[in-house]
Amino acid sequence: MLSPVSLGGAKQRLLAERIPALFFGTAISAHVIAWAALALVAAELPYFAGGPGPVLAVVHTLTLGVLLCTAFGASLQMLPVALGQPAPTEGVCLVIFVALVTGAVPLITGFALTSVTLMGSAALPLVAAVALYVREIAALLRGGSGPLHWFILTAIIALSVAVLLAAALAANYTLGFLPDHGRIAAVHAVLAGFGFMGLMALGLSQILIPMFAIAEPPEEAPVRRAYALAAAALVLALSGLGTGVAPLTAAGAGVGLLAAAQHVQTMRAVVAKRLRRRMGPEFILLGASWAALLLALLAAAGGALGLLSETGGALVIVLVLFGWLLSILTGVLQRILPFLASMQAARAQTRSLAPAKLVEERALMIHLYGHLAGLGAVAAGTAVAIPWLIVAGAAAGTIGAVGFAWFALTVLQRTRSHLKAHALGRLSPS
Amino acid sequence: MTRDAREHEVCARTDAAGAVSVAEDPPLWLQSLDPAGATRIDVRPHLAAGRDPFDDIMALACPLRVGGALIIEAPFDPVPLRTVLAEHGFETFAKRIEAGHWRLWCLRQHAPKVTPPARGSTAGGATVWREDDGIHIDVRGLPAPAPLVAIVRLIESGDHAGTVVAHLDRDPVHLYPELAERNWSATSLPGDANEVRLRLTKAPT
Repeated sequence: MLSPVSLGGAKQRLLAERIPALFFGTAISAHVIAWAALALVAAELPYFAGGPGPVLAVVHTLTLGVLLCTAFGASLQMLPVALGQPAPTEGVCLVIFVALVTGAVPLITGFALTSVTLMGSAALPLVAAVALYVREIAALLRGGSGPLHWFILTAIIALSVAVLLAAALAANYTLGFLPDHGRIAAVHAVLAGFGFMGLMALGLSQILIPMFAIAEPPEEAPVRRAYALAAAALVLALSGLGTGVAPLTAAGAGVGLLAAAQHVQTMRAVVAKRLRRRMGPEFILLGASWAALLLALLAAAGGALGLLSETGGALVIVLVLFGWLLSILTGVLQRILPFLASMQAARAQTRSLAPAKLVEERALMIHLYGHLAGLGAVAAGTAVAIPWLIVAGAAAGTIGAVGFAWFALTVLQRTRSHLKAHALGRLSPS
Repeated sequence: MTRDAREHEVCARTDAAGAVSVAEDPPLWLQSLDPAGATRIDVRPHLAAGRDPFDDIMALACPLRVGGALIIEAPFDPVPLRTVLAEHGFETFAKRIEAGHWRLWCLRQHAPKVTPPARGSTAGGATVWREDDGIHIDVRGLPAPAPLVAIVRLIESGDHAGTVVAHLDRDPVHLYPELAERNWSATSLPGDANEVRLRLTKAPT
C-alpha cells in the first residue's frame, strides 16, 4: 500500500531525525547508568541531605541525563506540532544538545569527585543550553494563550531561575557568598523538579494523553484549576523553603496534592472516553507515576512538618525522580518513539509504517516489570534504610532500563530496515 | 405472575428497523450464532465504576462485518443502545440471565445505514457532510489533538464507504501513524488557501 502523503508544512514542524535521536539516545543511555549507579550509593542514599558526593552525582545523572534530555527533546519536537508552529532549526537544537552535554558531564563528574573546578566549569554551558532552550520555547508560545501556554511558560521561567541558582551554588563553593547554601539548593531542587519538570509534564499531558488514548482533550475549566493549584503550591513551597517557615512548605505540598489530584482526575476522565481499545504498558507507567506523585507530596508534607524519620527527604527524592518523573517520561517515550519513526517514514514518502510494527513488546515488558520492581525496592530500601534492598532495586531497575534500550534500538533498526527496503524498491526495475 | 408474563419480562429483541419488542422465542439467527466466534464485552465493571461503556461497545461493534456477532453482558437491558446498534445494521436479542445480569446478542445483518449527514452537522466540533466522492470532515480551527480524534472517530464509526475527505488547517502529522495502524492511507488533494485537504482511503483487505 502506497501512502503518497504530502507533509509540506509538517516538514517544518518535524525536527530532523537526528535531533530527537540525540536527545532521546542520551537519555536512554543515562537511564541505564542512573539505575546501575544507585547500587553504588545504596548505603548513603537513605541519609542523603544534599551536598556534593556520589549521591548528588547519581541524582544529576537522572535529572540532567534522563529527565532534562527527554523534556528538551520531547518539547522541542511536540510543541511545534501541538501549536502548529515551525520547529526550531536543526542548528539551534544541536547547540542546545551540545551545551547540555558539555555542562552535564563535568557537573556530574564534579559532584562524584567533589571537584569544585569541574562543577564550576559546568555552569556556563548549562546556562547557555537553558537560555537557548527557553528562547526557543518562548518563541513557540508567542501570541498564544490558554492553559497549555501557562503551564509551559511557568515551567520555563522556573527552569531559568533554577539554572541561575545552580550556577550561584557552583560559584558559592569557591566564593562563599550565599547566606544559606542548603536552603538555596532546596529552592533549586523544587524549581527544577516541580517547577520545570512537573509543570512541563502536567502541561504536555493535556496534549499527549488524549493523543495516545485517542480521546477528546480535557475541558478547560479543570485544567485551569490544576494550573492555579500547582502554581499556588509552587509559590507556597518556595516561600516556605526560602524563608525557612516549615508550615508554608507543608502547605505548598498540601496544595500540590490538590493540584495533583485534580490533574489525575482530569486525565482519568480523558482516558475513560478513549477510542483506543488496547492500552499499552505506557498507561501502567502513567498510573504508577500518578501514584508516586501523590505519595511524594504526602511524604513532602509530612517531612516539612517533621513527621518523617531522617530518611524522609531521600524518600521524597526517590518518589519524585524515579517514581513520578521517570515513570511518566519512559511511558511517554515508549509511545512517541515509534510515532516519530512512523512520521519520519511518512516524511520520506515511503510505504506507511504502522508504529505497532516497530515495537518489541518483550522489551517493553522487561522495562515495565524491572522499573516497577526497582522503584518499589529502592523506595522501600530508602524508607527503612536497608542498603541491600536498594541494591536489589537498582539491579531490577537496570534490567528494566536495558530492556528500554532494547526497545529503542529495535524501533531504530526496524525503521532503518523499512527505509532501506523502500530505497531499494525505488531502485529496482519495475 | 404467569409463565408467559415472566418470559415477556426477561426477553426482548430489536428488528432491523430498530424497534424493540418483547419476544418469547429467540430469533432463528441466534440458534446458528457461534458464541466462540463472537466478539464479547462485559460492561458491568464499566457501569459499576461509573464509566459510560458506549464508546467501548461501538469501538467493537463498528468494525464487525455483516454476519459478525457481538455479545454484551450488561446489568440491564440496554434499550437505547439497541436502537443505536440497529441503526448500525445490527439485530439484537436480550435475555435476563439472572438478577442484575442481562446478555445481549447482536448480529450485524447489513452494512450501516449511511444517512447522508446534512452539511453543518457536527461531531466533536468537526463538521461532517456527504458529497459524491464520499464523507467529508472539516476539522479546521480545532485545537490539537481534537482533529486527530474526530477523524479517527469517523473512520472507526464505519459510517463511510472506505473513503473520507479531510479538511485541515495543517498537515496532521499525528494522524499518519494512526492511519497506518488502521490500514488506511492518505493522499493530498488540492484545497483552498490555507487548507490541507487529504483523501483518506481504507486499504482493501
